[in-house]
Amino acid sequence: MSFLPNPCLLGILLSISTHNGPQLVFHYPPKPKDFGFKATPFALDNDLLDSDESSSDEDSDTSSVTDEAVGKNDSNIFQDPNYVSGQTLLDLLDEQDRRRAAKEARRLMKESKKNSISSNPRTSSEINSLRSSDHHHHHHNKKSENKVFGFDVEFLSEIVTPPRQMCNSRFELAVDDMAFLGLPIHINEEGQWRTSAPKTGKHSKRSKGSNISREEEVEMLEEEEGDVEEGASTENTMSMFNIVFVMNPPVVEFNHRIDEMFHYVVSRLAMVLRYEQAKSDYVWLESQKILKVKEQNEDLSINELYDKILKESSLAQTIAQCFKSISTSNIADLQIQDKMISLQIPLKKQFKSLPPKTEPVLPGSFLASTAIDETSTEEEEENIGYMALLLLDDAEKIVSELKIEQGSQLAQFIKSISPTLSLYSLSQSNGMEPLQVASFAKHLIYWRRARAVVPLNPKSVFIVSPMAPLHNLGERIISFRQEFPSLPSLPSFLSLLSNAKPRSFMAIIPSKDHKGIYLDALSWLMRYGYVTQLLIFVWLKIPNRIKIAVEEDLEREGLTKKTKDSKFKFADLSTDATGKEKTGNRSGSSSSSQIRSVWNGQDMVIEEEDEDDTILLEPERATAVERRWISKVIKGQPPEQAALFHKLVRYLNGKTPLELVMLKENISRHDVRKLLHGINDYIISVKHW
Amino acid sequence: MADFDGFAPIEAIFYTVFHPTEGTKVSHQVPLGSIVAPPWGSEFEASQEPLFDFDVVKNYIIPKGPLCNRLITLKVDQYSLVGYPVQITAPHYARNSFSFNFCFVFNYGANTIPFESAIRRLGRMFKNLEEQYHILSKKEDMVFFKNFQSSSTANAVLPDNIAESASLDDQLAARASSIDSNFTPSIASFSQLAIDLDNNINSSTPIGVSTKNGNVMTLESIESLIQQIYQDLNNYSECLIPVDSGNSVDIKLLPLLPPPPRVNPEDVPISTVQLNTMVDVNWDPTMLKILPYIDGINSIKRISLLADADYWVVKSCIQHLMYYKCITITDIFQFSNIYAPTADIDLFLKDPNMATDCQAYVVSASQFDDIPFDTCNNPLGNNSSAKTSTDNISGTSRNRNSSTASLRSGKRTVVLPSKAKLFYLYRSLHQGQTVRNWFKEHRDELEYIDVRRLLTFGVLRGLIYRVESYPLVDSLLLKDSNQASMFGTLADRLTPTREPTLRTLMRRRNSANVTDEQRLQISELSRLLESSKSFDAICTEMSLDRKSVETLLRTMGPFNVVNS
Repeated sequence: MSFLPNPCLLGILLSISTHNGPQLVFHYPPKPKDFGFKATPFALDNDLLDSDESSSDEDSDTSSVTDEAVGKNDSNIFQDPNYVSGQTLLDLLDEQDRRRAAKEARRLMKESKKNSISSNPRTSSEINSLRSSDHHHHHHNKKSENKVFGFDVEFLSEIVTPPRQMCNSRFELAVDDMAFLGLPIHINEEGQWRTSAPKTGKHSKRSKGSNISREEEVEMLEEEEGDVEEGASTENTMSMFNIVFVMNPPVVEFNHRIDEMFHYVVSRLAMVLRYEQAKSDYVWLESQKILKVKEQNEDLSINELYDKILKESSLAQTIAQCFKSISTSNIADLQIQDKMISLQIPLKKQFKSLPPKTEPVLPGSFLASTAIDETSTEEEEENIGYMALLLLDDAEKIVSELKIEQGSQLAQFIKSISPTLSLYSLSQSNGMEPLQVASFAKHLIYWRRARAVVPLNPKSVFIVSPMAPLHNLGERIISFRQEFPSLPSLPSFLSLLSNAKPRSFMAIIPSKDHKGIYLDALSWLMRYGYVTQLLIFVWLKIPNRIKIAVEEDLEREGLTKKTKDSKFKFADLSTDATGKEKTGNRSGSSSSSQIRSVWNGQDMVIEEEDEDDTILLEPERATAVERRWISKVIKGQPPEQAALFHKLVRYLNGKTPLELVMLKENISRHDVRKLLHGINDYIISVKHW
Repeated sequence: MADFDGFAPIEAIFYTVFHPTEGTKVSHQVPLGSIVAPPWGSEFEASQEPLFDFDVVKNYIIPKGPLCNRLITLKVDQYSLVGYPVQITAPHYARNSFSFNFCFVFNYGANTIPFESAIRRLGRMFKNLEEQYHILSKKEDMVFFKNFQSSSTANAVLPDNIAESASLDDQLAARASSIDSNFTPSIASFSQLAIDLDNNINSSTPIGVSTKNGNVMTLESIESLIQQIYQDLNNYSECLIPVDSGNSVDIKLLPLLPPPPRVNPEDVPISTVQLNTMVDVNWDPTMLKILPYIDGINSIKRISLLADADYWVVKSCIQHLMYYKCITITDIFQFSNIYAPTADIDLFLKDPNMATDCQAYVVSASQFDDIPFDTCNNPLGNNSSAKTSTDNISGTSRNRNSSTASLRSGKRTVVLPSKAKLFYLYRSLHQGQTVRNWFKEHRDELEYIDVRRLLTFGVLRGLIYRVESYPLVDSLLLKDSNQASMFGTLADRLTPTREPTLRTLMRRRNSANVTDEQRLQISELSRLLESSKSFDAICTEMSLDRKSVETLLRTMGPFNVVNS
């Protein structure tokens, strides 16, 4: 599954069902592309991230061989780009190489006019590149102007208006590789949208003509302006509405993309609209507005018509806004009546483990095993109080973007956030409940405004992240320079951090006076994913002499008479496969630890080295014997050390970084170091993010 | 295939037609009663309640024209229906058209994609068969035709067999009166009819549908066809059902794999299977040529040079092998590399098989006593010294060393390194430390361990990662932006230059006697630097070793090396 966002949203439809039958009220964009019912080809390359690279590759990539292949197979490839089998794979690869340039141009273009209202959001290069030689690709011709997604408008409204039994649950219809996804809302048996809202029964006096009756209704509504709410409920002949998202995800991730869209966007939007419809007949009234504008302005060009519709109807605006944001993987902040809702498909921008090098990720992704996102377990979320928040934007900007009232508690909180302060200390200084702070924090993380990090400390160690976005550095160099004019340039700064054995951040701060600005620079680097903290994870390791000592103790106490078995397990797994299986893939049939084998014609004896240490993976769940080992380990240490050890022993599981343990248990770095030094023979540490 | 867990079971298959008088109806279904209650009364006991309400979805199963001849997938209740509705328009049909659909039912969340091409093909095949032989429309009774009652207009409207249709239609008309709605007797009459029809076809079409034994329609009934598809696909993931001598329903389900990721010239393919055991006569010649060089040491670029094959073809071959997961990609092994643990290093402790696999993979007969470290850092290695050094690592060194050892003792003892030792070795890797230094520090522990294999194993299993080095030149990175000129100079001034005097010195000297070749190299290097390529990529692209690239870089001015 790709880590890159790929909404593949082609358009949004609004259809309603009245006594006149189904009707397509509105669709956005005005002239959606249908791609001939084909799926978006699965992107191999990462043109979103490194345009320079791909463009420089491009010249050579489309060398003579590939060009020939493209010319020959153009139409064949488009037939089924995703059902690629071995035979057509090479063709597909060539094809994709060829298309990289076109796609890139589109991406750049899209980005540049992300926020401008454009009826035709894609560039002509893309149209050319995506238009196949198939016959059903004439959507730009005059004659098919009233076709939407390759269908007549009336027919389209029919297929996205399912029978009542299919309503109020997920609607998903795929035509070839293009999916129509919605949550059709149907009035219930009592004629109500929701079971709670009381409504007068519908009546059907205007079901004979189609256009005229609707016009009359609109007029009557206008006359009754003063009393819209009541009038609406009596005039309501709409029995169902359906907001349909049209998508063409790549076949390999079809279900995933569709589920994602339904879960995060479609269902939530439909529920809000149902609520508003039940409350104030919102969808019906807005539909009438849109239809009226459409009828009165039949002679207008489609762009002018859409300008008018968007001016008149807030629902049309909402749909357009939703399309623009969601199709570009942004957050859609929608105003529906007096309600604000935000919808998004969450981005994968935090990674606990390093994804394969070949797998493209969003630039600026953050690598940290402590990362908290919506996939985090409860256990991980418990740590959030000890973590700090790193804002991904200016605090003032976040407050205004989230439309938080200045001076409100939340605004105060956001402004007080610092990546050096844990949430717990923030809650104390703001006089807020820790739970409330945690929920604010999760909110900010979910809405892409912040990231949970181990509180920044100059004594900690930082490395250049293996996911650092080193491509397209130019702009970042400039903004780093603008932000921190007195510091070394971005590349030199990264070089400073990465060209020696990792050391504490303090080592690169020239003087005390520079501490503040260096920490600011550090949080800037973390924000853009250049740098991550190198954390220390510790396990207990029990050498044989401890084990033997414990065994002797046990024998002395008469608890065990077993002859000593010197083969200890290497790690304390419940399966003992590690301990027994010593021959591996070798052709060993001997029961001894010696295997003879022939290697390069030489007679060879393979002897297995005895396992010495056992690493305890879960000291918290230690068995009786293991507990004896542990107490043997700490024997002979001063009592305060021993007390500290017992406090910490449950964290010596390789999962919780020491940096966080210190905060959780409120122990100083010095004490921890002293303890670990004392038991140095019995611990094993690893350092990673 | 680790990430593939079988195909979704087919819950049901049904065949629907649009009946001229009865409308959309389910003609056949497996299992019986899964779609609609069986119409044949109590003779057959329905094995189950219908899975869903067919009436609700029938407009999507036999849809209007625009949805026809496309693959239609519809989710309903707990099920996912996949079909390929076909509509054939021809004047001889009762309603000028004939519509049918072979529809497959899966569970809601099932991955139906492997079935889609088969369902599409099935629909298209029967569309053709129907257009040519009316194989479906004549199957049940004749109600689908206009000439059901009278044959007078038939000659004009039946386009396929104009000459023969008169006699045929006479028969049809004769039989029509005797045909009742019961399906079974109509088969008998139909087989007779089919023979007649087939004689006609045979005379007029070159396809040569077999008639000799009269079994033009081995397709006994659609019922048995879908029954067999249902059983074979669910049990064997494939089926091979002859329809007539020229046509058959051949389906083999294949999992849909994502396209292989993009590869770079400096990537090193390493096989996960015994590639040479898989070769057959159909293999691509380039593929055969490159096989011997896929050894976990050669980069793709170098493979193409060694095999004397075009790079782009080699690249495609490598991606092809990646698609089938026969190879994975690692990095170029050099003693100047840096490796460090990842967050998944604990898998070595937790995965019970990993440590054992690792032991078996890395154990080696000899220590690398005489590896010439300093010549190892040429990743492309088109000069001979680097070539021998990399070969050494792969195994020839083993050969030589063990032979010298055997001369001494005749028999050699190899100690399989303990798991704990391997873990400690992995964790002792860290940022800012080259393999060379690490090796020197851990020389004793690394006895009997193949260093390259140890590191490759760690990288492939995600225990450690390669820290790549990127040379960055500020002024080149800023080239694109409009502030470049301003910042170029600013950056030059502010970048802490190591030895400014030396630099200017170098510049002055170089401006005088830079050769044309160097100038070319510098311009290529600048191009690569603009897109922040790693040293490996630059060395591979320019066929130079890292030292030469660094020398070139120095002539160009100050640069930073970032290890990421």
